[in-house]
Amino acid sequence: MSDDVDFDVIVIGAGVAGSVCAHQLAKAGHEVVLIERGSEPGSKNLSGGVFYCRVLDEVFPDFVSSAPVERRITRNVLSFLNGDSHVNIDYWDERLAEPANAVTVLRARLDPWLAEQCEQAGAMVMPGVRVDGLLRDGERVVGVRAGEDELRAHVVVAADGVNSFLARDAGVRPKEPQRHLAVGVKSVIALPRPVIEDRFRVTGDEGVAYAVVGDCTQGVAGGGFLYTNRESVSVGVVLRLDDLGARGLSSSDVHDHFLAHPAIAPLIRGGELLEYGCHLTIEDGPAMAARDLTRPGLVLIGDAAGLTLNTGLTIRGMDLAAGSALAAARTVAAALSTGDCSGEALGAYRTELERSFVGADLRTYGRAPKFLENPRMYGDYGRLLADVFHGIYTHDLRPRRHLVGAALGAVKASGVGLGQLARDGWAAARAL
Amino acid sequence: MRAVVVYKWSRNAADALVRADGSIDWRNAKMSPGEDDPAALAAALRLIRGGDDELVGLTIGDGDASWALARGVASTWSVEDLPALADNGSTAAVLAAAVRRIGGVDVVVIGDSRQEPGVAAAVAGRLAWSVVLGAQTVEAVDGRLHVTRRVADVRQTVVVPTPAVIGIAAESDLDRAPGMKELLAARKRPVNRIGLADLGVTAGDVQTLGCRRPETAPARVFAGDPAQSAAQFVSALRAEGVL
Amino acid sequence: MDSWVFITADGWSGALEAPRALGGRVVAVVVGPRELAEGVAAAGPDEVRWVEPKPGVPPEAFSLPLADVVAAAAPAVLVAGADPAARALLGAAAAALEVPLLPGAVGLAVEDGHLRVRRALAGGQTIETCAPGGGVAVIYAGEDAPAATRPEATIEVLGLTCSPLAIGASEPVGQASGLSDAERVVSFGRGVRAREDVAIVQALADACGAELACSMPIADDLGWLDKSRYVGRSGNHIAPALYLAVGIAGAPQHLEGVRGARIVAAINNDPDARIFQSADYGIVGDLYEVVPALVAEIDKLDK
Ligand SMILES: Cc1cc2nc3c(=O)[nH]c(=O)nc-3n(C[C@H](O)[C@H](O)[C@H](O)COP(=O)(O)OP(=O)(O)OC[C@H]3O[C@@H](n4cnc5c(N)ncnc54)[C@H](O)[C@@H]3O)c2cc1C
Ligand SMILES: Cc1cc2nc3c(=O)[nH]c(=O)nc-3n(C[C@H](O)[C@H](O)[C@H](O)COP(=O)(O)OP(=O)(O)OC[C@H]3O[C@@H](n4cnc5c(N)ncnc54)[C@H](O)[C@@H]3O)c2cc1C
Ligand SMILES: Nc1ncnc2c1ncn2[C@@H]1O[C@H](COP(=O)(O)O)[C@@H](O)[C@H]1O
Repeated sequence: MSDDVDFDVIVIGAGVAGSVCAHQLAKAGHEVVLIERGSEPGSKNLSGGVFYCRVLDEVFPDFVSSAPVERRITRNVLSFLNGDSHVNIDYWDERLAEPANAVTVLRARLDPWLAEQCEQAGAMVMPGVRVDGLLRDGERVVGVRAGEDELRAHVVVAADGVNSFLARDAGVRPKEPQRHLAVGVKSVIALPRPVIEDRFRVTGDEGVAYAVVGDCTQGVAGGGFLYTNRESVSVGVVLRLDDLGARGLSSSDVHDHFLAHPAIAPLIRGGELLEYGCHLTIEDGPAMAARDLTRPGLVLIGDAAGLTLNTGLTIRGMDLAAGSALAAARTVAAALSTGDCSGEALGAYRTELERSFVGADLRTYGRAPKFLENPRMYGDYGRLLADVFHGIYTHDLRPRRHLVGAALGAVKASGVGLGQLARDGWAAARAL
Repeated sequence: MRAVVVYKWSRNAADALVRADGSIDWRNAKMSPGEDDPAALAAALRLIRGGDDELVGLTIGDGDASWALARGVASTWSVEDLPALADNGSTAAVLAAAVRRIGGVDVVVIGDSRQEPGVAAAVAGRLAWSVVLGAQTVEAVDGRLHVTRRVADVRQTVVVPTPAVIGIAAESDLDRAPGMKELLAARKRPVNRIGLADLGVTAGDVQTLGCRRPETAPARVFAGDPAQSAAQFVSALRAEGVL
Repeated sequence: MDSWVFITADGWSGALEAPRALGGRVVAVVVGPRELAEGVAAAGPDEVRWVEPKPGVPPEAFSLPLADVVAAAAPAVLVAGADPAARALLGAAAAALEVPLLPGAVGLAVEDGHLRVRRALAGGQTIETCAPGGGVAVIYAGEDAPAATRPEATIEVLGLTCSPLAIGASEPVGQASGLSDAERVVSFGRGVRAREDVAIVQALADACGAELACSMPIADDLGWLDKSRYVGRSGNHIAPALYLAVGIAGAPQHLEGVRGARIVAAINNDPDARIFQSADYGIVGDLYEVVPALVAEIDKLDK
């Protein structure tokens, strides 16, 4: 292996994926630089904000107590929203608090903390630099270029997010079809801590996550979310790009419509807007991640590799970003120790990934995107559920019907049809 | 020539949000160098002509040393345990003590900041050095400093003996992001972290009794139909006698 | 509580008036030409001490010798305005007395026998009250004061040896643009989207009988107007009766150029634009609709 390198490893992108990977490799004693285009890590990043954080247990022994996390999610609300009604499935479980299963995070706080851990582990963090391209020696990636400067390394790790310019530059990803992508629009709204505790019935550092389907997206494939932070809530919508385009709606209008919905507005009433932003996210992760994830000298991780799972009820990207970062760090460390950073050696990354929860979950949820294309998800079922409950709770002096009867009546009236309902139910069970 | 460039690393005042009760919310404020600091650094770098010339950075607080190091400064000093003070005199006393500690300094170049317009002058006062403020450029000519600045409608050159403090007032936004090679070079340059105790100074601050919003009349703003707004606006300006 | 006010250039009226509220003697220390000292004396401070620099000597040359004089007199309060040379004198004096130095002062007062300094923070959006304890030096950043009607002070000449600072060369900057003594100025910023559209704003300036000016990026980055026509810290400092800012955000650096304007008016499509905090009148709206409407309205007046 040639020695004219500036670093053993160059990691591009100080998101969750890049920071975790850089941290692991630096901790193992390798010379690592973590390059981030934002003037501060996190300044450009955006997530809805629920982080299924168990994956970090092996990286940061007391992640939940030392990192700037907002709240531990102990209540999950699945909300079917209609114009004038909603049906919520409200699941609270004290067991979700310890060990913490999911926490809310604000990336503007989390990402700088992660980058600081990298620095402490000995990596050099280089913010304010945008990588413009990869350096190649024949087939092999040997470094990166930014402006007039070049840096060389044995391995380049691309963690540059959903738009990964580097994955495209390397010829791994084509221009992504729109149906693989979604746009998220999110607001962070400040509310005093006591208001959050009263409104959402949470105490201490516990929090709630709403996943909303139905009227929240004005029929566009996608969903809404609302997560409690310490002294704010993160609320917004995720909309599939192709469907949004087809319906000619603007994502910010759909976002505004959601926040003004009578079921949502009271939850954020009186709050002060702290942040507003939009960001692309991945709709069909399994399809994107099926592509090559390595080239000689190059490894893709996190969103750059397509590793986000949109199950309709949750978007999971940060945990897969961290999981893939760990798999990549193991692969790269092994390659560096043998001195062979060829495509084949790095190809072991795929195996590492398959062996981890990332690969397992990708297989499990491989069908979700197809299922989520089903338009009934975004309209009919919310109405159907509301009609069932309406039948149960309306006492208009007509004789009461048995629950099953009420439900069947509602299904008939909805026009979905029993057979359809059964098929969708089965598909849901398999996909989710 | 041994020059010290003083830069500030603090919450950007432009990001301060004032609440209804007059208190300031710094929550969304980003850390940044002072608005005149890039210009001060650029001016200071031009004093360095090779040979024994040396430019040293100096900042207070746990400021980002790499900001100056990646832009060409040979080493930096940080006085770490000093919070941002309202009192420019106290800030200046600490800076002056640090300049003495660095030793052998011929010129201190410092941003002549609109937010902290007393610091540069008071540093000179504490050092009992000559000072020129509101400067645009500084050049070393035969052991003296030629400082240019604008006074009313003339640009004048002031010739100043060393040691001296030169306060640079920025004319525009000069900052540029350093490249990867500069950032790498910065990592190898020394950062000297010291505390008030090392300097043998204490830094008190004036007591604040709180803030409130000023009692200025807000602007009369017309909105809505352009033609109607235009009519109201014109008649208001006529009533003021300015149209 | 006696105060010394350092004056090296015009624009001293507010700084001289502010310490009046303290009830003590107000001593003006003028370093500059005779006319400056006479103007200050006419405003009626209790004393004027005047240092006349020889030709080619900048006022700063007296900062250290003057600090010795101040240290001996030990006044409770030192004041200077924003002028760089006056601040240089103040800094040396404050250091000699080892008193706190507070920027942004907009008012001085004595409350229950204690000195209070009110100072502007966050671009003047809030006013902080400070209790300095002992003496204090302040940089005054408030309004100008109206001409006083007090008995004229006598001028006492202060003979000081100066440090060897010298003015090497002076050259005039910029060519006259007609902005400096215009009654009305219409100015535009990056809210104007294309060079062709400058004509729309020019039409408004013509209708008002105003000079046309701009923000720095328009002249510096885009070159749509000559550099002699931009307003602000590094451009023109003007004092028209009416300054009408069209599509200008109102950055503090820009507004520094119009501190002397009597009425500031603004057109901006962003209701939260910073300029509305400093303006007297405003229209929230798209300049492409509002400006033609204004021209039509003004044309009506003329008929
Ligand atoms: C609205 C929305 C809601 C979401 N909700 C959730 C959720 O609740 N839970 C969850 O787990 N996931 C969620 N996700 C997904 C999650 O945000 C992503 O999967 C995750 O951020 C991916 O991490 P990453 O490190 O791969 O990429 P990113 O976090 O996107 O980081 C990429 C980094 O690379 C930098 N970069 C890019 N190009 C360059 C370059 N050329 N040079 C230098 N630096 C570069 C960027 O600035 C950025 O810092 C959501 C996404 C969206 C949009
Ligand atoms: C050291 C330093 C010195 C400087 N000195 C100066 C100086 O001397 N003079 C100066 O001007 N600047 C100066 N600047 C720059 C200053 O900070 C601002 O960047 C600049 O003034 C912004 O110009 P602007 O308002 O035209 O543009 P922008 O900030 O882009 O503002 C454009 C405004 O137009 C509005 N707008 C957009 N479209 C429309 C529409 N259709 N209708 C109505 N309104 C619309 C927007 O809401 C916005 O408020 C200096 C900066 C620095 C750092
Ligand atoms: N190539 C780039 N370099 C720097 N910033 C970018 C780049 N691309 C996008 N951004 C910024 O990143 C944010 C999100 O970008 P995008 O996801 O591409 O819409 C925007 O605020 C852009 O300003």
